[in-house]
Amino acid sequence: MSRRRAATGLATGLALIVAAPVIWWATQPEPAGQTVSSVNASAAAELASPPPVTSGESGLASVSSQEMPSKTSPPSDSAPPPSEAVDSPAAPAASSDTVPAPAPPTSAPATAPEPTAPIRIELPALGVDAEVAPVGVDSEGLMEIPKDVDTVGWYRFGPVPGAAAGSAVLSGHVDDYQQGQGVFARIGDLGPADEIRVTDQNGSTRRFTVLSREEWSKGEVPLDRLFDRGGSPRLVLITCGGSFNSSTLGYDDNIAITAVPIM
Amino acid sequence: MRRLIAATAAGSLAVAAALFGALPASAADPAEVYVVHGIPGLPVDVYVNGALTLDDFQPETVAGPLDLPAGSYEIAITAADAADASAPVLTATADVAEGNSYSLVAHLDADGNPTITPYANDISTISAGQTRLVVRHDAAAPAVDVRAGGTVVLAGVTNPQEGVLNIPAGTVSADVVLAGTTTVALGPASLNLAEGSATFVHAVGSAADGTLALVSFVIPGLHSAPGGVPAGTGPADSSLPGVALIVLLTAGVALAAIGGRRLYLDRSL
Repeated sequence: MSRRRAATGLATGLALIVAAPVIWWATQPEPAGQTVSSVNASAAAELASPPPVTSGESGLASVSSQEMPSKTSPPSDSAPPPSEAVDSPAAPAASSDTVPAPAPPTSAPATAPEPTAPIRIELPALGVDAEVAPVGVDSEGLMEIPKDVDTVGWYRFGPVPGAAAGSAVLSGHVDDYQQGQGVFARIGDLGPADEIRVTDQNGSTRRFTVLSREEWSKGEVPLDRLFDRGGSPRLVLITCGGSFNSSTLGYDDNIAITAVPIM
Repeated sequence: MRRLIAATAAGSLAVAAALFGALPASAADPAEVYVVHGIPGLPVDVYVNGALTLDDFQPETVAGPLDLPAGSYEIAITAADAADASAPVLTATADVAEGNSYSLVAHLDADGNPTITPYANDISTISAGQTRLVVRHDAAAPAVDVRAGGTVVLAGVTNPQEGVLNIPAGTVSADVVLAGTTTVALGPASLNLAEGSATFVHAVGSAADGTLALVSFVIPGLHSAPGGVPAGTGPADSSLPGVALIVLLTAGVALAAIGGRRLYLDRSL
């Protein structure tokens, strides 16, 4: 009898020794990063502004006034800004005394209020409804991501969603080692024609439709295109994907969803 | 009343700055030239290669940018009521290179005499989140320090030197003090320095005459993208599975040891 009990104890102990690591391994949480197929990448690339000229971006230069107590220039009120005059290449040298300023582009269409900073994003296809907070860059020059994995960051140095041109960038965690899965964990499931809704500070909600889904290893992400401040108006959602690298505590890839406004 | 006349007929247009150390340019980009008037109380006309280019140009204002083909230009500055460029107050020769940006600053030298100083504008790309502040000493005044938020950021700047800072974008309270002192010569001014932009601030006028002033302009669009998007740090860590593993392993080893020992003792009886 005792012999049998001893054998049972031995067997149970050995079973535990084998089973415990298996159970432990099986219960380890998986990195949430997705690996997805790219869809419509070329269409997204076509929305970008032309590649910058090597020096200068000269066309963008302009004069503007600063908040200074002393007289600063140029005035934008009464006198026509000099840049407008000299920018008209057609003006012949000696023909006129004055160069009339072009009529200022007065206002946007009355139906579309100027977009302001976004505060909320909805991804109906994924059941996501999250707050949006403005972010900049960290000390290493990387885009900041909100600490809270349930909050989405808007790159505040770029366009706002709904701006007339350029790429408005929203980024959210795929996961965080302290908080678990993040709000953007499944954006790789978004595909063409899925809807995205963004609400701004004034309460205006703008609708976008997904155009493309792309994934790159981090060294190959077209950051200049994703953070383009010119080109067609678009919304870009970015998160991490691919394999999780447990030594660097980061993911190998980025996933981006590009969406265009629904007029 | 300020008028600008732009000319594009081959080679006839011209204002310009001379320059040193500017950036390499891609072909066919014109140079951009900002003209800064820093001589108090003296409206002027600016002639380029003999053609009136800036008429009745007022002190403490900026004109431009003028898009100029690369080349060398003769600049003459006259009193605003002059009929032509035959009796200039100041003259200069300026060479501009394709695709570069320049400032041509009419100002007082350290002794209070009118002069023209050309500057190359640093329009290189700015890191994400940063802004560029360029401060130029174009005033009849001694060496100065430039302070931002009370801290000296540019020390011992003399006419016509410039200092360049690349700093995080935002609003900065800046002032100018006599070098090595806390005697404020100018300011403080609240500068809203936009991300990806270069702000060029010129201290002009005369300390002796009490006409010191700041004249500034901004070149936007020098931004660059962030270096990456680190949007994940992996699955949530939890100590529970690890603790459970140790407990189960310990229990398993104990059971096996006890059972094994008993079997061994039974056999040896």
